[in-house]
This record gives sequence, C-alpha cells and structure tokens, in this order.
Amino acid sequence: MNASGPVILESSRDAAVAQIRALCPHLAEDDTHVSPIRGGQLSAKDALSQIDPVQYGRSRNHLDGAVTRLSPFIRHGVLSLADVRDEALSTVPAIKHAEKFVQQLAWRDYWQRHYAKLGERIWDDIEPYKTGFEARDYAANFPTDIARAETGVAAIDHFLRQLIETGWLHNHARLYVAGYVCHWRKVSWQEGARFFLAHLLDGDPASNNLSWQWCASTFSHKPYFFNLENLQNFCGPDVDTSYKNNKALAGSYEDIHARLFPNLPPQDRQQRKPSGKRYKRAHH
Amino acid sequence: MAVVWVHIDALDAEHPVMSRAERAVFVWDSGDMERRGWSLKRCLFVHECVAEMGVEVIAGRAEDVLREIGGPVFAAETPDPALRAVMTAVGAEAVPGKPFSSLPPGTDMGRFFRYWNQAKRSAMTHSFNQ
Repeated sequence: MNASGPVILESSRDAAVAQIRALCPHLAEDDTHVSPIRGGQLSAKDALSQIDPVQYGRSRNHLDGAVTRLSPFIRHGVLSLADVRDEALSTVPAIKHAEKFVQQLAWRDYWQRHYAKLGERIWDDIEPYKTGFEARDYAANFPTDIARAETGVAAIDHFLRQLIETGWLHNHARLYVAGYVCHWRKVSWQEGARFFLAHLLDGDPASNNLSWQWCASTFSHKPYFFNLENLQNFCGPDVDTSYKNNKALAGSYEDIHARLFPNLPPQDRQQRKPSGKRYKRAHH
Repeated sequence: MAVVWVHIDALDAEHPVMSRAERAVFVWDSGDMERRGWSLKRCLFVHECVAEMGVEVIAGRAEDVLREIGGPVFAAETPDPALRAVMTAVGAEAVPGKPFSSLPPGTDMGRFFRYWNQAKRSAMTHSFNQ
C-alpha cells in the first residue's frame, strides 16, 4: 500500500536507502545491494564527458572494452539520445567515426518505437520458438539457483553476481546469461526478462524484452547460443572461464546445438556461428 | 496552474516539457515500483535522479495525486503503457523530447536496418543543424 503526502528526498545515500525502505515496504529485507553508479544529472554529464566513440566502435564487444555505461541515464531520460548523439558527433574528427556509436543509440530508438505500438504485448511471444520446442516446454518459474548466482557454472555465476550487486552488465554478458537461461535451462524468456528488469538500472521492457526474444528465437530466425571458446575470447582475466568450472558450456557448436535442440536437424557449418549483434546493440 | 508530471522516463530538468511547468511534481508511486519488480538499487537510482532535479515530490498513487492537484497537466511523451494510462486518466498533454531521428511515413520497421536506412541521415545530424 502506498504511503501518501509530501516528501523531502534525503541527499546522503544511507539516509536515502532508509527513506526508500520506509516508502517501499514491499522491498525484501535481503535486498540490500546498491549500485556504484549514482543517479543524477551530474553523474550523467560526467559519464558523457568520457565517451570515446572511436574506441567504443573497436572494443565494445569485449567485456573489458570501452563501453560508456550511459544506459541507466538514457533509460530514465536523464540524458536524451539526442544529447548523447550530439556529444559523440562533437568529439570525433569526422562524422563517419561516430557512425557505429550512433547506430547503437539508434537501436534504443528502434525498440522504443516498437514499444509504442506493442504496449503490454511486449510480454507476448512475437513469433513461435524455433528451437524444436513449444512455449509450454519452457519453465514458467525462475530457478532459485540462477536468482542466487549459484548455478555452478563459474562464468554465468560471475555475471549474475555482477548483475545483482551492481545493477549493470556488459551487453555481451547479458547475451551469455540469456542464452544460458533460455536454452541450457529451458526457462521462458519472460522469466529471465523479469529478473533482468528487477536488477538492471537501465532495464526497460522495450530493449530488454525484445532482446530476450531475439535470444529465445521468438523475435529472430534461430536461437542464440554460444560455447566456452567464444566466452574465453571475449572475457577479461577477472572471469573464470576455465574448462573445469564451466563444463556445461564446453563443446563445439555442432555438439552444443545437438545437445540443446535435439528436435532440430543437425546444424550445418554455414549456420554454426551465432551473431548476437542485435542483442549487443541494444544497450550501451 | 499548469502542472508537469515528472515521471520515471524523463528525469531531466531540461526536457522540453519543463518549459510548461508552473509546478513540477514527481509522484513516488511505490505501488508502481512494486508492479515493475524493482530492486532497492533501481529505486535508489531514481531517488538520486529526482533529488538532484529539486522538484516537488509527493508519495502516493500517481493518478490520485495528480487528480488532487488539478489544473492542466503536462508530461513527457513515453511509450510506457502504465505511464500512458495515467496520462490518459488525468488528461495530460504529452510533450515530445528532443528528436533523435525522423522517419518518412510508412517506414518499414520490421527489421532494424530497414529502419536505419531511413533514420541514418537525421540520426547522424547534430541537433543544431536539424
């Protein structure tokens, strides 16, 4: 039930947390994590002043690449896409050097335009699954071990901990988690999307849900999956990508495809590598 | 008195809607946050954004608070269906933000690159030159 009446917002973090707990009694007692990313125009402008569109274009797919972390500010309209675009264009020697960067911003514009038309249908499958399974074959409850970052798959647990503790996750890590949840664990994309929306500071149903649908294959022509070798190529040294701690992810693409999608015909070599581009472009 | 409803999709004191404000109000709607399933850190991020804006804050159900305040209501345009429902219920006028791209009518939105081919020229142009 809502409290009501005028509120003077506290300015220190500790006092703000206590105030939020008083205003939002539904928050669980064990929900204690606060993000290192602070809200507000000052933090936003600081992050905006540090963007490097050229370096971003070169390294954004790597988990230690030059990503901007502007997405929470964009999601809540603290910065508009136009603000960020204008800053990017003003920092490059020629407009073409900012094209990759601006194209990533355009993904949000694209998703938002879809959201304006879909409304609450953003929670419905846009197309059937292309995994050899029906929607009813996917679990409608989010497994506790995933929610607690205790899957036993070291890299996935690393990403889940980062999500829960900081409210931010690199785009490529989001893709790995979504692929794991949908295809290794056979959990419906809606459950995964809800979990992300609870934790991601930049979570909005447009980019989030449509990206989960892309991964699940209900908004794409094939499911997104990956293997340990791919993970090792894109992760920095702080992520445990050892074979012994990530056995569930190990194998060739053909082997994993056969294991995850036994009802589908074997994957041919042309289709072996997942692109993941659409998901990665959805978040900065 | 013209009221601007500052909502969670436009926490920006420089949003064009703010030029309409004789009074700007953010409604701390914990029921809406609960429906969205937000964790503490998400609530805190919004709290910090709103606190820095320095607008008036009232706790309660958004629709109820805005009805009680009365007067013409303005709010930033949003695709969010829950926010739109409140705006419709109180007769709020939607004010668009700064444009990022412009598209010709009937643009095929079925795939991103069909959209991008139409949006690219405007998206790659600085606001000063639009």
